[in-house]
Amino acid sequence: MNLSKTDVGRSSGRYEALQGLESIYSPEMAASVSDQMTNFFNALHELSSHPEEAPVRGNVREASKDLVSSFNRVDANLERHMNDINQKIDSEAKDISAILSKVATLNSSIASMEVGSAAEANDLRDQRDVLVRQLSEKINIGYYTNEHGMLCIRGPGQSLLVDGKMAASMHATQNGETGQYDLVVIAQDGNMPRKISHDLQGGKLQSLYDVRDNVIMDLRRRNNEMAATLADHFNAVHREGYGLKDFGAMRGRDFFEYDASQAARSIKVTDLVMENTDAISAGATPNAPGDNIIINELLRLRSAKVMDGGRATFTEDYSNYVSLLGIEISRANNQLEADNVIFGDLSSKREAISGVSLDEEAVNLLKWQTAFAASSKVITTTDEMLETVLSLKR
Amino acid sequence: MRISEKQRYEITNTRVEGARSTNATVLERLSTLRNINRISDDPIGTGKVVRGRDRIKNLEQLQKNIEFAKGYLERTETAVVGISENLMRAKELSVNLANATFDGDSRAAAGRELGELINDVVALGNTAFANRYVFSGYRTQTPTLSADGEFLGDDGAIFLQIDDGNYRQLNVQARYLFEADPEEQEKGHFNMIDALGIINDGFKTNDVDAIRKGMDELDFQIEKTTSYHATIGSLHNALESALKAHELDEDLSRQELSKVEEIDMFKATADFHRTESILQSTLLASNKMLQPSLLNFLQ
Repeated sequence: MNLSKTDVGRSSGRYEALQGLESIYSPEMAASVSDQMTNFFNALHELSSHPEEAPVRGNVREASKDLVSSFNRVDANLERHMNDINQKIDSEAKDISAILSKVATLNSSIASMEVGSAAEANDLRDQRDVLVRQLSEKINIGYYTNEHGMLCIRGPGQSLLVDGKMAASMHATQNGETGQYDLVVIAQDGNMPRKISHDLQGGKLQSLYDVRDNVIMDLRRRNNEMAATLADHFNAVHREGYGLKDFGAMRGRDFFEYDASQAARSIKVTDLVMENTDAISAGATPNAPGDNIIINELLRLRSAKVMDGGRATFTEDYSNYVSLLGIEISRANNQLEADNVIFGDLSSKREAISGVSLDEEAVNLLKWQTAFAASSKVITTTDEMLETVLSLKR
Repeated sequence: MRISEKQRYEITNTRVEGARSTNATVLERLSTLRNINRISDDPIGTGKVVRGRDRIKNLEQLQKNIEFAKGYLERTETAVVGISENLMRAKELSVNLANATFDGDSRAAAGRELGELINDVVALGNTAFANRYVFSGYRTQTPTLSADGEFLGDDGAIFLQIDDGNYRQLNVQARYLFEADPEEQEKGHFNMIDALGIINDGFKTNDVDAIRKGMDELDFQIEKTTSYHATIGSLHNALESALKAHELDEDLSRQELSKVEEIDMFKATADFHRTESILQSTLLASNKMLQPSLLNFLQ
């Protein structure tokens, strides 16, 4: 049953963590990366029709600002979710420490109550069982009861969590390299902390790590890749073109700039374009305000298969990974339902044996009541018989 | 099977929760009129919605492009037709006045009309659409012709995307409409305004030979203008057929999107009623199930 609880913990943790991501890619939202990409290319279409018009150039600049902020926003939201998960890991670690310490205290109480007595301290043992179940929802554990009736618990990677009266403590510590939280166990005060994040094999904490390090990291990677690919391809064509007026005979300008280590977070429109829309390159001929050859080349990017190793356009790639996330969430929900059914079934079986049935108690009550009445009757009858015997003597 | 009290309450709780959750999902669909309210509702459908919306917006934009190109070409066509009419009027005048029965005063009067026609041709050559000189190539901000008919534009061909990967030219390269190309010059042809100028000079100086020479040149200019007109017509036709295809495509894309995104009202209403009655009966049954215990009968 505890193993089943570990499964429920894992699937519920996974579903809860994934559910938070849904709002970022909600189909209700009209300012998704895909929508902004569409608007940006439509603004370029307008520029293709009116390459010399300042308001149309301004519109391209605004649409590009919206597009880069959608990349920024998605990345910031994903990072916020990672931080939320880190906070959850921290609070789960604190909960686990509290549970471990309570189990150790109960171990001690049970041992002292049971010493020299044949009876078991059932009430305390029940409390300990509840705590073990709570623990197994959070992490994968293994346990046994020693000869003194004390429970010894081992956690992920065979880390010793409770040994009789001694309880380890669990902490979430920030990794200096990644900035993310690792899970460590300190067996006793003064001992070296042992990292167990990678040894988790079930429970809520494993799913939190999985969502943080795999699902969210993958979404961030794809968002970064899209931002960087767009900027690179766009700049490569843009550099070949000429702008208007002061920029009419100058080329070699980028439109987007970004820091390669965090493309989606850092992508922005270059200062030159932000200050003056004449810097937007539309033509391939110097000093030709009506030339839109470069814009037409840029428009080809909309339907170019430049993402996912040359297999998808920007929109296709976006829709693909949003669909995959949706499938992941839907699967997590189904898994949670399935695990709940299994756990419910096991709970039901357990209840069938150990639970209290009022009907049964009522029947028992009647039975004992009847037995009591019958016994009373026997006593009354015996008394009457004795009376009779005594009266014979008189 | 032995049923404990806790089990009874848990079973009831699970059943009511399940019925309420199903009912809430259907109610949400009914109230938003959408099948997909979050990506996990239909992950594959969500992908289709993202692509479908992009496709529709793209088609709308392409139709806007085509409408713009059509306007541009129509304005160009009107100008070419105007130029052609002016050239024909000049031809008429020159045919009439090349006749020996007219005197110098008549020719001088015709010269004044021809002067107006020349100004008109220059003005038509400088036709603009959406603040762009349509015959100037890429130099859309520079008038195409100077007052004396010199071509000031360039040979830029402006293309506009009318379909994915399909670009169509929306301007005509007009240098050789107004100027004689080197080959034509070799054959003794002139620029358009110069050709009109020859006749005008003939009218002013009462020189019939010059008028006749100009008449032949005008024939050549009219023929050239007609061939430009035909080019514009073919560009226009291509745009029309692309526009029709896009309108149809947009219509189909919208239908497809609607099928994925929007609910079937009848089905949703029926589902709502069904889940509503399930919820009601679950609540009713739960009430009954929780009530009786042997203790109740013992009272």
